[in-house]
Amino acid sequence: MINKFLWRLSAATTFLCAPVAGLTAAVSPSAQPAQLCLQGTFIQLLNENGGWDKATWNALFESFHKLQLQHLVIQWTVYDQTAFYASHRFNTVPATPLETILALADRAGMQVMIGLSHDPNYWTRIEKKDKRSYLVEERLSRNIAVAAELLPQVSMHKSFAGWYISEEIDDINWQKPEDRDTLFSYLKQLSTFLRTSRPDVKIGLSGFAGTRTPPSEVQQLWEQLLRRAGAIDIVYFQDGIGVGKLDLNTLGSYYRAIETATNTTGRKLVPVIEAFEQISDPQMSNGKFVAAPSSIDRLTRQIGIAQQYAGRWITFGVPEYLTPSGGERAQKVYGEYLQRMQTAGVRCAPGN
Amino acid sequence: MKHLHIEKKPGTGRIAPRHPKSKRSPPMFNLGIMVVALAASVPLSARPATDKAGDTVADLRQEENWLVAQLKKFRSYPHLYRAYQLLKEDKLGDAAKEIQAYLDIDPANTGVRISYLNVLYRQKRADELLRQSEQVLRQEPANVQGLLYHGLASQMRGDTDAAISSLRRVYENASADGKDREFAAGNTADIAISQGRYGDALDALTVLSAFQNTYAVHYRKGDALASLSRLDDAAQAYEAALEKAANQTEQIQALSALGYLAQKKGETDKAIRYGKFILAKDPANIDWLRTLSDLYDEKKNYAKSELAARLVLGASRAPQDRVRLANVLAARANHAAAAGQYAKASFYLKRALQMKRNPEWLLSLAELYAQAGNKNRAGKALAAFSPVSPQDWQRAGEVYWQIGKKETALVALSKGAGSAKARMQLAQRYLDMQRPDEALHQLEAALRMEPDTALQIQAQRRIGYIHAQAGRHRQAIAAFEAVLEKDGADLRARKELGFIHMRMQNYPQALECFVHVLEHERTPSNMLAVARVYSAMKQNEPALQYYRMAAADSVLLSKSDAAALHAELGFLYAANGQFADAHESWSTSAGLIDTPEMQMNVAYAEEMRGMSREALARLDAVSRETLDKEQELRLLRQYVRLHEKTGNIAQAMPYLEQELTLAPSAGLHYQIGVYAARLGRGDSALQHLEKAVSLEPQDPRYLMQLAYLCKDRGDTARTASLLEQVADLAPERVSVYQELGYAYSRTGQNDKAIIAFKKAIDGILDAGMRASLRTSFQEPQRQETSEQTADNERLYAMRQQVREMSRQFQINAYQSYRSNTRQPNPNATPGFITGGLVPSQGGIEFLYQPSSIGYQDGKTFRLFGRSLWSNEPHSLRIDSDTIQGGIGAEYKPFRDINVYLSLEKLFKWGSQSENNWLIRTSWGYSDGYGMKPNQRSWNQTIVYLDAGYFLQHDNIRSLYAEVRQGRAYNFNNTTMITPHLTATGWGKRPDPLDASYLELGAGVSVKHLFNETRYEAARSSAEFIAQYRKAVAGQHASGWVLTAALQF
Repeated sequence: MINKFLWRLSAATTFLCAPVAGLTAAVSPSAQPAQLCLQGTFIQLLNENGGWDKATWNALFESFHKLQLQHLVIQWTVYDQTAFYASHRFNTVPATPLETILALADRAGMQVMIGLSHDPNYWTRIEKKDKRSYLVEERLSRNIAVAAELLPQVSMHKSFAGWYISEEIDDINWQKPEDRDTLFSYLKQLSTFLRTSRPDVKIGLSGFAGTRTPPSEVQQLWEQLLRRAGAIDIVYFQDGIGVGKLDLNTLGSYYRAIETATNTTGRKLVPVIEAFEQISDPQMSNGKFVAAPSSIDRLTRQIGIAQQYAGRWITFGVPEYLTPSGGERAQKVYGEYLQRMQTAGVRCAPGN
Repeated sequence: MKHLHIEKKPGTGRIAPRHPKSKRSPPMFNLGIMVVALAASVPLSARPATDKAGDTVADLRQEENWLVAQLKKFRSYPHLYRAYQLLKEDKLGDAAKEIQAYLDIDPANTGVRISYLNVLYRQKRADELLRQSEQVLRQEPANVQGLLYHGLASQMRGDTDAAISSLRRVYENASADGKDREFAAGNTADIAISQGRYGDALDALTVLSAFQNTYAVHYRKGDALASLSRLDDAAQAYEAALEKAANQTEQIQALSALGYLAQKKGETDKAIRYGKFILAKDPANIDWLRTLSDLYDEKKNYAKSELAARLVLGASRAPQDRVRLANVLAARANHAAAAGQYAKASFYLKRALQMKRNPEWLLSLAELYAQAGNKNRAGKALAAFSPVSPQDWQRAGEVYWQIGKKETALVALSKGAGSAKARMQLAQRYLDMQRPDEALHQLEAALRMEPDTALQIQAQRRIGYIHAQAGRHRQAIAAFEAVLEKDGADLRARKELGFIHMRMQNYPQALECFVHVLEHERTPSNMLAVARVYSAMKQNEPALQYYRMAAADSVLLSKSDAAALHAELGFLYAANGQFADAHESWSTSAGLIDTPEMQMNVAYAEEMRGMSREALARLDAVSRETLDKEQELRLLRQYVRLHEKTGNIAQAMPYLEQELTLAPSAGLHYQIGVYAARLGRGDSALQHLEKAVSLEPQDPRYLMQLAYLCKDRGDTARTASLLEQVADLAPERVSVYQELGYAYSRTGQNDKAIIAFKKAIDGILDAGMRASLRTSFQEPQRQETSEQTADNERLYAMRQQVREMSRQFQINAYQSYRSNTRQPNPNATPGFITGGLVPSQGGIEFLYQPSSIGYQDGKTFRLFGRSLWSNEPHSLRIDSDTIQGGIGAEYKPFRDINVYLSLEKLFKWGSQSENNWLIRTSWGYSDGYGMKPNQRSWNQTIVYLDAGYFLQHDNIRSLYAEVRQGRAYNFNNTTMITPHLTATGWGKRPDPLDASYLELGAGVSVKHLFNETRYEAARSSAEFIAQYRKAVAGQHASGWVLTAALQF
């Protein structure tokens, strides 16, 4: 879901100029300080990031520091044929950002999960019949190639905490047993490769669900998945609030389902807090995604719910919606957020 | 044998009820006391009460009572006296009667009753003693004597509780007489110990020790404490006893107690030390010799244990001591066996058996002999053994197996197969004997016995192996899946399952198994298994990465596995074209296990890296004697290929011939034939190619190559025949028709040739169509491939050929214009268009090529008629005076050389023309004059010479020469534009008008081709040439020359 639209985010955020209701609303005084801890963020590398200089990255990390972020997930390092690191296999962006990000994260004492490759056609390909050859041949080979190429580069950094599998698992496309078998087989093969190549780092996978799938079914899917793909350590579950797949009333039951699945199989749940609000109808806007920063009140409520089910969570996406690099509106929310953290005297623990 | 019975040890035996004889006396036991009592007629204990009586208020009644009492005393006194006398005579019964008589008179006299108690105690009249003592206690509940006798009476009656209770009241009574307390405590201790009431005993002994700091008290206290498991306290008590020991016997007793206590505490060394003390004082102490034997046995000091046991046996011939020694020897044997010292073990066990007949040991002896490799003795021991239980049979079976009596072993094991485990053992033996079916039968029988899960898993796994080895994959899979059903974490079974799926080429299933195993067990061997499946599935990327990871940890693999890994990795690299990496991997493999095969792999990598010299040196180092036939063939092929690559076919030939000797084949004959042909060894080539064709007449390649050879050797008829065969076998091969076309052409079979060419043209065009369809969906093709260029050239050549063979009529017309005609120089048109000998500015020519003789293998014969003219100055108008007619024939005698011979009759049509005969020879060379379809541009060189001799009139000899050098540009394959430089010269002898000239110039030609068909190159063309010519010799002026030419 995230990657389905978010690669267009920079355009979306600058596109927005209309004021967003509640964006600058007074901060809820009832929010606990911990509910202001974003803990970490996804970073979605886009072509424009391939042109950023070190000063720009420094500024972004300065924002991360002020927001007391400890964890980063780089959603992918290869997008289609474009690599965001020095690659011999793929086209490389002019200023490869991965090395810079890791160096800055090393210095900041942050933990970084490194995403593998993303196929922009993923969501259409998995709707087709021949999922098996796509996943267990094409995607597997691609991701293994990327991981093998990345490993010597990222291993030198103390911030390297693990791998993030860029394919996101939804609740709709894996209903049929044969499709599930394909998906599980792919994830088992990939995660086993990643575990074998570096046994000491974590492996994460993201997923989401909508209200049309009951929590029990979501739980069953994830339990099956995690039992089969034994090397996956972390489930990043997207709260779907930003895109309206779930709402604040139903979110808890889905967290509970995933929490049960992760507890039963001995894994870790990390909720993904969507820090944006979709303001476009994909069908009306020809598939273009347009979003704005969410209200801080809503964000703290999302974190409050996440807190009930996990000790650690992560935000999507701080760079786009909560830092000056996300544009004018994001900069404004960023300022207010910092002020609120300061007022509340927030000291964020790294999360566990 | 090793049990410590502390309660039976010396000293403790005294706890049994006994009479307190030495130090403790019953109360009022001596006669003296009794006399005093009798004399006073007052019980000792009642005396104070009596003293107080005179002071009471009821004196009067007391007075009366006193009178009664005095009467009673005087009446009773004789009884007491008689009792005293009788007691002196030790007539207890009579004395008792007298005392009883007295008490009947004066029942309140407690003192006399106590004396009575003494007599009753001596008479052992327990019941009466109890009754009388109770009487005393009713009168005086705290009466010490009464309590003592009550306790003794109770003891005598076996009422231990009452006895201890009464005696305890005495010894706990601090105000009681010390002797009484000592007596009570001593007796309580005895009673309590005898009844195993060690707590009571300890209490009593603690009090007693205050009166008696003696060996006996400490010792008994030690016993009580030991029995209460207060071992440390007991040790202290025994040590106190040891200190108080008055003689050696007591010392030994105390040491012994300490020794047993240490043994009980597990302090074996300490116990041994005490034992040594004891034996130092009492070398014949057999109990402690036995104990020491046990203690040394416990310490696994079997030599000393045996020595002690033998000393015991020296002093005692008791059967149990023989058994002890036998057991020690057996233990010693067992110890030696555990250390693998089977001969030594059998030696001890044999001696043990001499001491004690034990069938179990006999069987063990047989096992030991078998282990020691002493088959005969094992057999004898076994013969003396009669198996009874299934276990006996099983063990005996194993011994038979070990001594090589395998069939007997199987019989014995079968008899012993009463359990699932035994059946599995039997199954294993069947497997050892390569009898898998019987093994399978036993394993299935074992499973039917429903053994525990571990055995079920073991049995199923073996069943799986048996089926797998027999190639019964499905059954093997079922067996291993059954294992996994019972234990999903059994990685071994899952891995086996993976191997079976791999053999069945069920790669996804195999992968699932191996990946699962790897997920749980990160080993290079598991990585290798996964890599192999990916490799088999042609998923090179995962395969390569897993091979690399396994290679990084390959030191953990066996040498052979590591070598195989690097070899396979090398093949994968080679398949990806990464020959440097392949080179490194194969070199590593060869470094681990150097085989000729691997050296050849390394040489192959070197070959592919262009390191031919190194590869050849490596191949030279391979010892051919060690190679099998296949390897030798491979080696020879590598030599051939290497020499081929270095262009040294001659050096490759010997290897090919060796290969032919080793494995003759049509293919090899073919290859040798081809090489021989290239080396100019025509006969050899012919021989080998004919052999190839004879061996495999249906292979068009061989026929084709033979056809080429025949063509080269000029055997056109055979060439055509062979090509016809090829065409029959491989009608799809376009080149055959092409060659066939040429072959027919050479033999003058023009019709057949045209048909063949047309087929070839169709083939190329159809193939081109298919290719263009293929590529239209791919990246747009920007540049023609070399193959397409070759096809186009072939196509054009054939179309030209068809055109030349089929064309009968041709018309050529031209007209030129020269800007400066100051001097007559009508020869403005290029000679290769017009022929240059007869000067003209325009002309028209009709040519006829007879169908039968007109075209023969590139040689042509044509008839022609023409008319030439010049124009009026500065005009295109034909100067009628200059019109010259001609008719003649021309012949091209060579196929590959453009030499034409012609004879022409010239007719005088204009006033300035003439009648004459012209004999003419022309030669032309051109490169790039014709269209090169699909080429953007190309070089164009034209050289033309024309020499003629006019037979009449002045016998003029004329020579025309023209050279053109330019670059032709192609537009749509129909138009060529050729900028060029030119040199033109003409001369004649005689030349009275000095008309000869030489010109240099530059110009451009535009030529448009048309009248093209599918099978024929363009028959017609229209050409326009503009040149500026500079006269460098001769008299005429420089100027522009414009020419238009039409060929139809």
